[in-house]
Amino acid sequence: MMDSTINRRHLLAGLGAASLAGLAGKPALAQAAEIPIGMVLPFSGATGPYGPDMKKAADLVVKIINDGGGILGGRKLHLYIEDSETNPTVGVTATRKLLDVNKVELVGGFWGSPIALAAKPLILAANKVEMVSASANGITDGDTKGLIYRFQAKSSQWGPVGAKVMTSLKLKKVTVLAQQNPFVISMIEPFKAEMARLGGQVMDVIQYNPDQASYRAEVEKAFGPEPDGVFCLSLLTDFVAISKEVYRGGFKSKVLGLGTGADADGAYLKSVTPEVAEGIHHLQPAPPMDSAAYKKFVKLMGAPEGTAFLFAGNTHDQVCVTALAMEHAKTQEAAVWVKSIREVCNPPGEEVDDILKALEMVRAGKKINFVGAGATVDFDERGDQLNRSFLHQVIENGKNKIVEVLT
Amino acid sequence: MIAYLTTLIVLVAISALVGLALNVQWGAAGLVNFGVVGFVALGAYTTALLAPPLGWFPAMIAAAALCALISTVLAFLSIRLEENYLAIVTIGFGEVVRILLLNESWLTGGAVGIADIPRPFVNLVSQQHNDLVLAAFALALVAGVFTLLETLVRSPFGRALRAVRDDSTVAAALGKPVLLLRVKAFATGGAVMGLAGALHAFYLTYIDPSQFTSIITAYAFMAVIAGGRGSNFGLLFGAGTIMALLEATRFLKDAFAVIDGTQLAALRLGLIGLGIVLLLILRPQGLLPEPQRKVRDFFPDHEGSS
Amino acid sequence: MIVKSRQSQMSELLTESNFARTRRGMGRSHAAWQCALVAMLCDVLVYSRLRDRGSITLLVSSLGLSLVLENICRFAFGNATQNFAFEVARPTRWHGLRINQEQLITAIVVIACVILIQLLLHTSPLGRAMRAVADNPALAAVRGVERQTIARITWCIAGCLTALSGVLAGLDRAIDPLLGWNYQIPIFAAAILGGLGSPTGAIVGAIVIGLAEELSSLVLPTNYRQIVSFTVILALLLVRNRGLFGGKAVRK
Repeated sequence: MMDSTINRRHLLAGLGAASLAGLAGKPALAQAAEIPIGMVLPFSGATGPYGPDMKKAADLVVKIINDGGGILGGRKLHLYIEDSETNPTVGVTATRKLLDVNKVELVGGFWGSPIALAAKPLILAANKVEMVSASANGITDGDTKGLIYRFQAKSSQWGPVGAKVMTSLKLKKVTVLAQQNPFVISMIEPFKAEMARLGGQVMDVIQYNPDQASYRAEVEKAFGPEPDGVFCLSLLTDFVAISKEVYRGGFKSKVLGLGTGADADGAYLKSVTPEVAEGIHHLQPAPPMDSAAYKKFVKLMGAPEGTAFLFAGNTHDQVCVTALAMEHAKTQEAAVWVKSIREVCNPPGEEVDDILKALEMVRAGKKINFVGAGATVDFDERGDQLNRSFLHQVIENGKNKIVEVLT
Repeated sequence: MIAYLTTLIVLVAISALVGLALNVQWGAAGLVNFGVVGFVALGAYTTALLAPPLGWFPAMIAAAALCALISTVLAFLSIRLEENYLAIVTIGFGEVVRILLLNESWLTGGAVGIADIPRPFVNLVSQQHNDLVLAAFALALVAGVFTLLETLVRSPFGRALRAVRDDSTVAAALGKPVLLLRVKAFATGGAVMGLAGALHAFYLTYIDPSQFTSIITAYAFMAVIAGGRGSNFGLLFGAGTIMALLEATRFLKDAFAVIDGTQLAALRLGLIGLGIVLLLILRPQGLLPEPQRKVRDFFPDHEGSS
Repeated sequence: MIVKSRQSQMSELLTESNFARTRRGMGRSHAAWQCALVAMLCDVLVYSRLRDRGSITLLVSSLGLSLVLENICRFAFGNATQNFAFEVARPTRWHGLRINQEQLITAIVVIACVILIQLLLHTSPLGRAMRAVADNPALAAVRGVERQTIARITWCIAGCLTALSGVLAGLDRAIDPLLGWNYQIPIFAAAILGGLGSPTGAIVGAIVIGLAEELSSLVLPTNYRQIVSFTVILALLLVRNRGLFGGKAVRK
């Protein structure tokens, strides 16, 4: 056993050295000046569909910052991205590699609460910053040393919004159809409480496992008693199957889905025919759709105007906030610049959405209030997002139409 | 870098334990187990639930015992039938474990999982050396299990097992209790998988159902095949190689940014599959095969060849 | 499939998703022969070399092969769910019963396949040869049945069938690289219940398992539905281990 361990150690050390040498293909001096940051994103497994756009958004903004002269007096950002394979064990190893080998100051990305939760102890122990695009309440609970920032709405914030949408659609008797996962599960109780407060009634809560061969029995059980509406807490793959089943079953109850399933950065509409999607309502934490920042971001991503990117904006903002906070604190030291995050993101200050302009203003010593592409990026002292508004949309003729923005 | 290496050591230790267990079941006794991940998950959850009230050691023992017990039951149900039935029953078992863990939230925390699992020996050293201690603990565990299994393989029990694997009819004709031997081997493997689960829980200190996917089973088979069925030394080598390959791709990607993330992920997993198939075809005995024991290994004074 | 059923079954299932995906974007009729080609390629490249090493080696290699195929699909098509450009229809109502168009298509296709396979196996010379190879390869070889060729033809047919099932499943739900994995347990349960090696048994088994899973939602919470098929397997192994329609018991 000892033999093989030592061999492996040599092997890996060798590999590490080889890769470092590979990186240093550029002039050796430039490397010392680079500031390493990292992200753990899903490219395979059940949440694999979300990774590519998040990576693209982060890569694009890193390039903009670097082409604009970098930060901290001309130093460039180097972004390392690792695949989480939608698996916490892999996510932890990837985080470990980013922290110890690439020496990153930030571990961002994190689509999916289990991975963010599993990586949390490591990142805190290393005194680096964790930025997540995941929702489970547990991520910002407990002692976070002030190092964790959430770029998504908390699960418990989604539930009451669902109840408000149900009420505004005048749906009184509703059923919940929910996938078993930590993101969805913590929505159910707040939803029920808010429904009760608004005078509605939750008739049944039906839960199902991810990756089933068919969802016929669940759909039958949820829609069969003909509730006014069904709150479908699903992700993309299962929501595609469920909505087809609902259409084929000829059920009349209104469907309210989550943006993670019924939109998924436009993937849902590509997966079903328009008549199946017709009339489905869905809600998601809104990117500031009308803001100039968001419009510019959509253009940057090369997507048609009005596309609602749910997660890609988050990685974009993570890079921006990191760069701004580093510039503000005048250091790449994670434990130091993390304290500058709320300085550059929260009001008061001059609102600015352009990252290069914002960096310029920070350098000039102005107090800014950065507005991101995925959100206004204002945080409370636990690192959770403030002023998270939700977007309620309905699908008509194969297109998303905005109904209202809720807070 | 050191902390990353210790992480890898623990990971290799976990996969080595799973592989050693599969090597007893499939390598030595010829009993296939496609539900490996179910046993590992069971071990991890038992440890996570019992470690806070009882302490890490009793919890680990309980995990091993529970897995051994369940293996025994499954084995009795299906071992007397054709091999394929055991394969199917174990796949089903893995699936059922996953569903129970996901849905029995009063016990397992459901999809949210269990956090803050205590590690062994945490109070002995400062926090920075925590990982080092765990790596040492993992190595010790692997060494212990390895020694135990090697002894077992060389014992009369091990010889009888291989006889049953190679030709159960002959073994039965020679008066070997075939059924009992098989059940025992399967239970031993189950217990070791439980230990691997315990180590997994100690390593992550947070477990949830999404950590236990069928890829664990695939890696275990890959390790056994790469090392050579029945060879415990080969297995350690196999487990180490796989982990090195998987992790090495991370470094390759940093150096050459030609393909996107999804394609890279597809390439990594696809190569693992290709590795299994190629090894089975080209080098079925594995890279470090089980030694073919000759008569003179047992009777050194014997003059003639076998 | 009766012939070589036990070895090939699992690999068929595991590769199902990939066949469905491979098919995407091409003419419907092309799917069948493409999958037949992939299946035959698998046989030529992999299985034919391992055929003499026992069924478990074949099972393990099929696990590896399914990883390869799944990831070829992922490499080529990405992770996102895909869809056939096929209109989903509203149900026909008939005395309060809802009948879906897809369900109807699926039922008709399956019945047609069963009849064809039965005819093939029991009336044609090819079917006779297949059964002979399955029962006793050595004896069949003595009688001049070319084992390699028969196995290859069998793989082609199996490939066509899995392609078809992949397409039908894709119609039913969404297509993604993980599609095939979701069907494993119920399909095994169906095959065991029906008795390995009996196509009629497999269909009856599938119907019983399907009904048991769906009806169980009346008494069990829906999230425990998937356990039903496993329970059926275990119960059968205890009581009647050759299944409902199986021939002789396959004891060791």
